[in-house]
Amino acid sequence: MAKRKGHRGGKGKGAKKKNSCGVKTPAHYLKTKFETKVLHMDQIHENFKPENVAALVADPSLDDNLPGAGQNYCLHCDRHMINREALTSHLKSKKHKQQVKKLKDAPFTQKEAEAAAGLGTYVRPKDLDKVPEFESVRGADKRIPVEQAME
Amino acid sequence: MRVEKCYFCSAPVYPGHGTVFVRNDSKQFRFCTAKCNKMFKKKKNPRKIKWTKAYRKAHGKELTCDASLEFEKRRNEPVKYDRKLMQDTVKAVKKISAIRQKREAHHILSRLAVSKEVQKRADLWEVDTNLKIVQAPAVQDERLKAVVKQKLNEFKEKKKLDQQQKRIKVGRGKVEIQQSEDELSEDEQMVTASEEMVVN
Repeated sequence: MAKRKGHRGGKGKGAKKKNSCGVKTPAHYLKTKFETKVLHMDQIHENFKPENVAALVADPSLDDNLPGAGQNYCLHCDRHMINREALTSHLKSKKHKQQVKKLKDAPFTQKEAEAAAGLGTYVRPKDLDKVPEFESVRGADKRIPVEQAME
Repeated sequence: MRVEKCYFCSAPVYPGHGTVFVRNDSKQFRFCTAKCNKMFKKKKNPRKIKWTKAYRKAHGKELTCDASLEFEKRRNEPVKYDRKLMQDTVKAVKKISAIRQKREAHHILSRLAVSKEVQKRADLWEVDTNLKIVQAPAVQDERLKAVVKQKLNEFKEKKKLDQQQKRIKVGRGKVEIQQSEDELSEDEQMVTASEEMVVN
């Protein structure tokens, strides 16, 4: 919160700013680190359904606003990679493997929260035995190779 | 006007309290407090956060499966106001919630009762071994000591029986485990024999 200019001693050379003005605390970075991932876990589980897989991974449309034109998308991490090599190296990374492990948990729903509150019997949903992988259905990178474009 | 359940901790959210987050896929998430809201944003799993109802039910800390829990439901169809029905419902609600509370309390107490047995055994052992710190051996009551020893032995026998039961359950049809059972019983005989020697 900026101090009012009367308290600052004016707007010009007399103005004094608080030492920490303009400095982002670690808390801010932590907050944005977790919140930049747009999709929640249950949304990612939704994306595992065949119709969404087709639209995102198997046959994605070229979208120049996305990195790699949306052709190299990791479904588990909700990340677009710039090319196929970047994607293959991402799939081996620790972060990706941790995310896959997290996705084993069954998605939490409002119904489950209500059952936990006492609205009926609570049955713990079964965790997934195996998180599905989509490399077998992934479509080829549709972008025209640079050599061809130069012709 | 409805009392909702918090998405994260399953607490009741009364009108005028909490927040609702509406996501792009039109799913609504109600939170009782900013605490739950922040946990949700950090993508925490309620089933792993100790103080939520989801954790308690998932880990068997509270009563999950009972007929008295089937009465409260989310009913989306409004009912035409009927005074008699309203009176009967209120009476029924009071009775059912009393029964439900008793059953929930019983579930928790029976869960905690196991530790009482463990504590009892520990206390008996304490008396058995450390009574000499408090009382001189000459002053000690022999009958009391005998009773304490007898109760300790009861615990020991019970534990032996339980262990045998477990081994029988596991080792049905397996010859090797039965053999090891005999060996262990031999060891136990040795232990009890040595104990007797020490006592004598």
